[in-house]
Amino acid sequence: MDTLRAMDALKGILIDLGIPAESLDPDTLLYKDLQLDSTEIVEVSLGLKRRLGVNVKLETQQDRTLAQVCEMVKTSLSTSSQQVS
Amino acid sequence: MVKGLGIDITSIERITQLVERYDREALTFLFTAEEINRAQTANHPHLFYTVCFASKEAVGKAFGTGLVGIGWQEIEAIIPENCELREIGKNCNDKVYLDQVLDGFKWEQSGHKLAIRLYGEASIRAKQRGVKEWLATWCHWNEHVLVHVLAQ
Repeated sequence: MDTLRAMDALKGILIDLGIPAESLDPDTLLYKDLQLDSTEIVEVSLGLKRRLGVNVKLETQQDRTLAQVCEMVKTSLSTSSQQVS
Repeated sequence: MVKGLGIDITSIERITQLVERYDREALTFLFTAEEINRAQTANHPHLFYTVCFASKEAVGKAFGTGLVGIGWQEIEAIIPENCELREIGKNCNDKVYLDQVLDGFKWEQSGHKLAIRLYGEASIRAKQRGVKEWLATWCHWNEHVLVHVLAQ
């Protein structure tokens, strides 16, 4: 899983939620910049589960950038593959 | 002694869209197997799911931390069957729910009880805070669900 694929999936999910593509950068913050509410945050998690097969919970104390979410995706996938092997 | 208070208002339409978009396996990220099973046999499944979702949010707020570090499935809403999702204006046991139109909104005067069950980290967090009991109610208002929880 490379970062680009995770980022494409994440951006696709956010665009489906109605977020303009031009407002999505790796440094874009989920809460501060995109002002996602709790239902939308859940939709992002569910979207990641569907598209990439990962369980990533995005309810965190600190706001996350899209790049940081992609890292969480990669970590989750890496953990899953280690458990399988 | 009150240990926490949480309120959440959730749009039924938004949860409906979410539930209809994802299959059961995906929804297990959010809901327990019991919640999904009961929703599927409920008279109004989307309302049922919305109550469950809002309950989890409200419990998170009562903790003062939101759902940080807590899985969505670690908080379960148990809606009593005898008060479950009957139509507005109909009797529910010996209570009568009034159907009023006020400023274009339909709303129920009385709240419905529900129970909260915690698992895993949510249960641990409640114990750490000395929470012995959860009191919770929900009501249906203007296509939204409001859940109110009190941790004591």
